[in-house]
Amino acid sequence: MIANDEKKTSGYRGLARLVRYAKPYQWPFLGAFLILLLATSLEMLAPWLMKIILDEHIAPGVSDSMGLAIMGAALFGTYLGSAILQYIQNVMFQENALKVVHDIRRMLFAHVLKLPMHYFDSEPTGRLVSRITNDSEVLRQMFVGVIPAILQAFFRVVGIFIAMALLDIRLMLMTALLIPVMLLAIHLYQKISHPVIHGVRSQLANINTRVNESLNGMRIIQAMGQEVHLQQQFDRDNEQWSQLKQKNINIDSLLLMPFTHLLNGIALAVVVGWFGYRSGFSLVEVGTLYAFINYLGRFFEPFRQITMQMSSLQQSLVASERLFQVLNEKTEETHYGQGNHQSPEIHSGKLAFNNVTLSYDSKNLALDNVSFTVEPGQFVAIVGHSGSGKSSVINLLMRFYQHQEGQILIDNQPLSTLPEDTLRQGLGLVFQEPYIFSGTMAENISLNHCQITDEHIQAAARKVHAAPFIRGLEEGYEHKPGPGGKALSTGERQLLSFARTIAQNPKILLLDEATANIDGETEHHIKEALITLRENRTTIAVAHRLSTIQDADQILVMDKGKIVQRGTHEQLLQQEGHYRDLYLAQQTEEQLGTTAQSGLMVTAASA
Amino acid sequence: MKLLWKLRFILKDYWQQYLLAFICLQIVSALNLLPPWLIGHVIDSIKDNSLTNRELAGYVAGILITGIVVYGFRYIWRAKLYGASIELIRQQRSRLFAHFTRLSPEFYQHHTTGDLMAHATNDLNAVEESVGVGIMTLVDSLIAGFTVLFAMIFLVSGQLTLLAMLPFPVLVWATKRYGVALYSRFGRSQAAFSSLNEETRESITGIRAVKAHQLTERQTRRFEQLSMEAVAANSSVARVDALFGPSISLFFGLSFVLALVGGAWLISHGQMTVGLLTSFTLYLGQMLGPMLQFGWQFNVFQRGSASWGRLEKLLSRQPKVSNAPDARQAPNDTSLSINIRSFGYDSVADQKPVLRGISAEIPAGAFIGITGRTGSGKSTLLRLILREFDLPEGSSIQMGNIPLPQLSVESLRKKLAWVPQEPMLFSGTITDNIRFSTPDASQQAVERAARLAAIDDEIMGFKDGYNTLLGENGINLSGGQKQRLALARALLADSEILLLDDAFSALDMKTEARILKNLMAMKGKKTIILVTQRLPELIKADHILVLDLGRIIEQGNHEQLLSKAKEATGQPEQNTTEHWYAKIFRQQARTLLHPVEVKPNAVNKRSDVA
Repeated sequence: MIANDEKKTSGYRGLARLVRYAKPYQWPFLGAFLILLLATSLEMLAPWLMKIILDEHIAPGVSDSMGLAIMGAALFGTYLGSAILQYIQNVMFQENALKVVHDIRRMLFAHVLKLPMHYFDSEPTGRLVSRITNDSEVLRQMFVGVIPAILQAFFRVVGIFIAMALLDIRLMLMTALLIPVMLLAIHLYQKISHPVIHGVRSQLANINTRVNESLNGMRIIQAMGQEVHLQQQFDRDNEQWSQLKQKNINIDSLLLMPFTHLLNGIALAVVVGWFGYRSGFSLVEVGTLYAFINYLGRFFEPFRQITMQMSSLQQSLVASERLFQVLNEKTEETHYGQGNHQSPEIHSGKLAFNNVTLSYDSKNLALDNVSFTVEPGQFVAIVGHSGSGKSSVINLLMRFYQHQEGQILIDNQPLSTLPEDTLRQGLGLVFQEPYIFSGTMAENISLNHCQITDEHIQAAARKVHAAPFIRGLEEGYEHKPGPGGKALSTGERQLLSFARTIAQNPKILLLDEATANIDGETEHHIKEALITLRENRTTIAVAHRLSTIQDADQILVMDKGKIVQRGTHEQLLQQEGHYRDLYLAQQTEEQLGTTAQSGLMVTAASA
Repeated sequence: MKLLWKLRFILKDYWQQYLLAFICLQIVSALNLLPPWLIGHVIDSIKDNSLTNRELAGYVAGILITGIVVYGFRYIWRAKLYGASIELIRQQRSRLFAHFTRLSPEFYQHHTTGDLMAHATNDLNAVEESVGVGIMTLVDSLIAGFTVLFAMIFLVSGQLTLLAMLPFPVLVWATKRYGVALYSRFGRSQAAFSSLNEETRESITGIRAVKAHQLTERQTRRFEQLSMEAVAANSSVARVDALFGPSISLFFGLSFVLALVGGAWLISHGQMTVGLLTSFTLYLGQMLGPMLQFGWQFNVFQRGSASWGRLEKLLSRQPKVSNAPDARQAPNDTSLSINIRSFGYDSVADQKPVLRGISAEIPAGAFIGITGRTGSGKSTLLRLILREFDLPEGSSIQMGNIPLPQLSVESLRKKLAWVPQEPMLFSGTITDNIRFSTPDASQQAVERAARLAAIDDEIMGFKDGYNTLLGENGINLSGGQKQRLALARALLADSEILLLDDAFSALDMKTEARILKNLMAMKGKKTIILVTQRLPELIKADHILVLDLGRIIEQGNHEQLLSKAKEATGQPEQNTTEHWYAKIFRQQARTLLHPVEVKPNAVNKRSDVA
């Protein structure tokens, strides 16, 4: 119960925080409120005008047709005025709400990009994307639906009661009794329907999970002949869903629209009875009765609207809570290298790890006391099974993660003192799966760094043999490969990423070597390009296929976070140990036709 | 509307519910005419000063009772009408699921789970909305609309009705125009939203690249631009969307004004009373609902119709593999005789066949090994034994000398226990998963199967033991644990033939050896067909088939295959498949077993590869 309350207050605190984002637009919103108020007032005026028309122009018999025409025009004027104002008000709310959502979205996006890498390890991509786009979209409902609806409902109810009081204060007081009844009904409805609606939803989720799972496992279901059994289980869930849904309908029918109509009927009877009774001993104007009935009819609409907006409100609260969760995540330290003005560039490209220890989860060590030195221009390869820690070396150099112990030096300076720009310029990372951004081919090479000109781009592409295929594309360098570069082959994507690195011209090259099968010709190009890439650079390659690193100056063999062997290819082959095992295992694999990910590698990793 | 015609056979089953709902709806509409009419009378009586207390009490009671009775009928029609739609969807969902379980693997090769899920959720929802809310609004707007119109014309005045109805055609025309404009703008806004989504996805999946290449600013700029585009598109939707409400109230207001002015004229000419005019305006108010609904339901039906079309197409798919009309029970003799001239998955495209010229006799109780490179057709052979696909003319697989298509699918598959390459587990407890094939197996049997699959110790190590809940597809288990659970499941089924498709690939040597030992104990009682790339598993096999490119390139038992290679003179070339078995076996033995000399019982000693 307490936990529940806390949840509620945190939800409303989220609401308050949400409303704060509307602050830059407070004046347009205020204007929209005022227009809404005016529109509602005009709406409330209409029945009053009808009363005047009935009492003064119709009931006594038409004598003054000019007056009737004027009054009729006035009545139409209120409708027209209120329609126009309602339209303006609605558009104003919408447009400003959209701007608020845009602001929240932009902030959220920028925030997410600044989050540390380990956040992305634990959070599925789909969920994060949904936070940024869908959840913020839900928030729009808050500003265009919930808030205006509640305000309008409030204005209307107040307006109706003022009008009723002016017509007949005693009857107004009697009608006021409806308010607690309505509120009680809403409360009751929320209370009764909530578990049922929740039940319907979760049962439907169950059903969908079951369908999804069955579709994925259909072969085994059929192979084991369990179709009927599963169908029975499914039907049970389905039946439960239908029963709950049935109940949901019954509750809705009892407490929603039919109920307000019932109340309306009762109130109508009271109003008619009261006026009829009064007519026995005093003068009752027909128009007053008519106007009263009319106001009464409008009285229920606001409540219906509020009930409808309740679920939107709930959804917005949930969405805002989720959004704020993301926003509350701490962003990365961004003040690297402050107070260091001596070395704006990486000059020689010397690299050293001194007793570096890293743990991602503070339980298991990913790197365990790792030390090595790479002289400028050297080519060092790191090999090992997946999970041996070889990629962690790159992760640390790119400052994706922070190591716990030891020192990493670049050109004899601690990594952490290097400014962000220097580091990103000086270290070029080539990914295992090259990432292609939407935008043109040229943009994918220059990555919008303004110092890289078109000439640079084309020269870089030529150097790595990417130019022929780029020129072969429609629009050449202006070609847009689409999201994820799916239209390009793996080899082409790889070449494009090489061109990107050449254009960047880093002093230190980090290669996360590709394992994918690439067709003969491209493979040849890639091999050549790799050699071009390494020229005049310190290179660290995380290798999966040993055949590509035989000319390395030094090979580091890693296992369980430690460097277990080091030396050249020839030296290592002569010793018994991991390297030779790996080498032999890969030869077998090639015979078996498997890639590095399956078959024996899996065996090896699990052993 | 077309949708209702298409659905007529399904709707027919619920005609009583629908009829009852319509009758109640009609009663409600008729009763709703009463209060305005009574109010009109009260007003006239007040005006004439002829209202007696008795009369008044009667009027009040009339309004009150109408309200209560209407409440009752409203409840009934809603419960019946929506109830019918829920029932209908329940049935259709069940039907769809049953259909899914009947379709052959061939179907699932061409359809993604995501697509099929969309049918099972979105499409069914759209149909549910059509047969529930859609039918309701259609019928309600017709019944209520005409009833009120009838009252306006016959109880009050035809002339006045005509006058008051003048703005309505304009309203219908205007809202239709809005609808068209909204549709195209809505499409643009959705497109803007999805490109925003795509951009976000790109930045987040590529977060390492974004950080490595310092692209944060570029990505944020692009995101901002797309978000602005989404704002513009949404604003243009809002500008049209916001027209609906005000237009409706404006035209209705106009209608009221016309009614009042026209009524006044009629009253002054003595053709109407003030009370009747009041009743009339109240009726006019009752027209609002039906008018609004009438335009709206077209959308619902359109969506429902498109969805139903997709569902119908899906439901009309016939399974490729099904029981022949005179299908027999599988024989007791479970020897298999395989004779495949040629088989390919896609018979239309002239692709290379996956299997060619395979013939083999597998006597009951034999231990058969199948090996070969990745993509050589090993799994396909198992799939054909499972009869996931039917063979073309000229090829056949026979069980006890009866071709598989002559056996009923259920009885055939009862004879087979298959452990797939990718173990597929279901959410539920470990026990549930092991006894998936035999839901009424005892706990002892489950535990015995787990023991045979060498997973019992690990299960007992979990906090909840056999009652441990597994996440979707056993997400909380390691690959090796999943494989062994899948094996336990197959062993519990106690079928005559065990089909193991690379089922131990994620296991370490010790566990693998333990399982192999357990399996060897069944030799002679069960046929074991083991597909593997780890050749030492096959040392004890009765017969080994080596496949390459869909053909058998070598066969025999372990000794034979090894000795053949010894006889051959000279070293075989690196890239030929000649003596493939011997070559790979030696390589594996060298890599996997530490000292270079290979002992015959080496299987048990293959230790730490890493």
